Amino acid sequence: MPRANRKQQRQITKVETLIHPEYPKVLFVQVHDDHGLVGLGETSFGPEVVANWIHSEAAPYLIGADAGRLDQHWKELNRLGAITTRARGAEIRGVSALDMALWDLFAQRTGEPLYQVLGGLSRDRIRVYNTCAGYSYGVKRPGFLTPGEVDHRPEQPYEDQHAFMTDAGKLAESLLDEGFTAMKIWPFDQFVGKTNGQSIHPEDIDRGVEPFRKIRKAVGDRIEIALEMHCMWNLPSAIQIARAVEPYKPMWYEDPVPMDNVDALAQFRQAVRYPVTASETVSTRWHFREMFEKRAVDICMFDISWVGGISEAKRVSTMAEAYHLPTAPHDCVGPVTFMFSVQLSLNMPNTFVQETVRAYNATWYRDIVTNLPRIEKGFAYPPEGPGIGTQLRPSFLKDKRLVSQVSAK
Amino acid sequence: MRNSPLKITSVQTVTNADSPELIWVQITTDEGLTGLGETCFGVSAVDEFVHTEAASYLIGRDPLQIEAHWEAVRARGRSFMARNAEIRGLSAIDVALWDIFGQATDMPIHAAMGGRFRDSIRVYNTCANYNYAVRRPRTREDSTRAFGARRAPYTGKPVKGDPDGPYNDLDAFLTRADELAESLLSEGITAMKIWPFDQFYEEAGGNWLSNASLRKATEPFRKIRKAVGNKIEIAAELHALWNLPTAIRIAQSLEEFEVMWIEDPIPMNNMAALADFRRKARQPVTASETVAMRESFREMFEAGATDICMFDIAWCGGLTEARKIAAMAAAYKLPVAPHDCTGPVTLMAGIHLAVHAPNARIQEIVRAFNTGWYPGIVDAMPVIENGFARAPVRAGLGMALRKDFLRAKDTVIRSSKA
Repeated sequence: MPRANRKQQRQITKVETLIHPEYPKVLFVQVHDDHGLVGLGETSFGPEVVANWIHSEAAPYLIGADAGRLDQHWKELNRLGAITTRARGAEIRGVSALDMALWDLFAQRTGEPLYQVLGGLSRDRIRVYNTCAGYSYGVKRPGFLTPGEVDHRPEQPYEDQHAFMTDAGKLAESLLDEGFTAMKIWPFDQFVGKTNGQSIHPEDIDRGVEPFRKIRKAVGDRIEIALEMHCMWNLPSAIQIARAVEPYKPMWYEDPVPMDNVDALAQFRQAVRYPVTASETVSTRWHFREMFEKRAVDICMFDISWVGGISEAKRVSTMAEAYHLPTAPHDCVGPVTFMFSVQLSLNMPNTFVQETVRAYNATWYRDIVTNLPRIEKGFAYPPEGPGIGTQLRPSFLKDKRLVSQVSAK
Repeated sequence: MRNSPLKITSVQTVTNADSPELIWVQITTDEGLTGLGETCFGVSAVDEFVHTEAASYLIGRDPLQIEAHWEAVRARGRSFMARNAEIRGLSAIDVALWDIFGQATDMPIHAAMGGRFRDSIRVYNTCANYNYAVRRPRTREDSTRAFGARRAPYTGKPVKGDPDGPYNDLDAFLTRADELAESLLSEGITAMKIWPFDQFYEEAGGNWLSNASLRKATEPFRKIRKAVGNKIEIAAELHALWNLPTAIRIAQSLEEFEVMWIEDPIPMNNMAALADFRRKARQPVTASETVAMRESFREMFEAGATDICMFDIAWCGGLTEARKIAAMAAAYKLPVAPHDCTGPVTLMAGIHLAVHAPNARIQEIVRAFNTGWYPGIVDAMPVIENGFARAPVRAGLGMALRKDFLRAKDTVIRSSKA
């Protein structure tokens, strides 16, 4: 066995964060090595907060370090952040983006796609479902989003949030036409503000159920429907909503209650008939362990750019496997995270389905990165090229509005 | 009853290079009241959160609607259950709002919270040097070493402006713990906290500890018991550095000294493991300053993982949250012990809570900080005599940042205004 050669070491020379005002909640991270390779990572929400953490706390540790010590860096960065975090705070978001960039860098070094470095393909393609957001939903919007708020831009293709709130049957038909066989909607968010999620009026329940009714009437059960609840309801309200949707056989209930009490989530799961999915809001293996151990979840959702990066997402996925649970990686946050998610979804034996947002794929995702996964007839196919198989576009990097911060030797 | 509500007019953050890990938040109102809060570690990220995410929400609002603001700022941080940058920012803001509440109603915070349960609270001394933790100037080496390793061993060299006084208690517990215990007793302090195991963390990154190291690490306990018997209580701080079997081994090595408590034996992200430690330890477990928000403590209490509930008000979600955690701890028949070793505002807030909460057991202090650099930052210090801290009497928090500190060349003030 040849021993690792010191000459094979790659040194980290530069850590760069990028914020673009067009995507005000997204932070892009590039880690450079001494051979000129650039690894790409991403996270979202409070990008300035995360960037400050990266440059003041993480970069001084990483610069000059061996780029290949992936697991050690994950642990040390967590210690630097004094993180026993189980929720997606600024520090773990920063760790996530850096971990992603380091793994992209490492996979590029091997000349292989990331899925190969993770253990290879478990399948040739992965089923995707469409999250029915519009062009400017979530990370694309500046300011604090009011639950249920719809920013309707009729000039953009796929204003799917407006569509599920107004004409869900037609939306389902449009998705089926493109080959999608599953969709996710959140028609109850609009009522959260009335009571801060403490109760829901029967008339509002009826209004929230309306899109389900319309979809089943238009296309029968040809499409699966996931209900996203965004962690905004107390336990009895969440159960009330879930039971009202039962006749329409939802694919899953997602994030019914806040993820800070796994016992409450387990109670929710016991009270409902269809699968519970949780949660993009949860970070690190320690929190997922608790969730699995308490039998609180059917489908394990995580966001690679919040959970602790691609290495932590892989560890969580493997732990889910030990509990006979499938995974469903999150998207709706940025093109880099989406690329990572597709790579992992293709690799993990226990992937259930991969999230995608056709409104983003068709518009602003492609303005940022050079490549996106090929999606056809409701499936995503393996990205090509070494690493994650995509880079920030030259036009994006040259944009004068880009705010870049660099830590270097 | 006031006719019109107060209004928040500005949110400021204050930092100073001499305390590189501390950040203060000042919230001012249209009637000239200024509330003071504080938090520490990762200050640049906290600073950014306070200004870019929280300030725009707070400005123009009535500062006395503390519950509503707590929920709204937490929601803007999109985080929960951990002392990350957003929760630390929330904690500092919350204490500043309580300070305003007390000043606006002319009551000390403990009175505004519902009155005091006791007139004074017993304190213990955390045996830190003047330049420990938040006060330590950062070097490149600090950043390239693990969090635990950053803490030890220490050179004991004073920070510029700090007295090279008699209270470099970290050096003392490592070398002459017997004299240290006698010095504390002579001042009326009857409990102390030390962390002689940290220095051996790097032996194996917390994965194991040799017999030789274990013997050396328990030496201070041996010296103290030999010199003063059981006149002083000794808490062992383990700083969440160890894996489970090593932590249990450490606990067993401490049994003969009958310690006051063993604190943070393992990382606080698996309550089942902590409960397992507690069953094996045969001495009280204290946890944890590293835990934030009531939901995390609920899980800890429910798992039967701790004997004493420690929280840091500047990290756990502020006074609003600490008070709820204390009430919940009482429901589980558990005492609370507010953390210090971070900053003067955190200490003062801890005393307010500790004289108010019926289940407060003891308040942490650091005599090196109280006599060293805390008085250079704030205009009033809590009264601590004969091992007890007295209930503060001034309205609100009872301290403000010193004018000369705010004017100092190294002090940076960042303001968000209406």
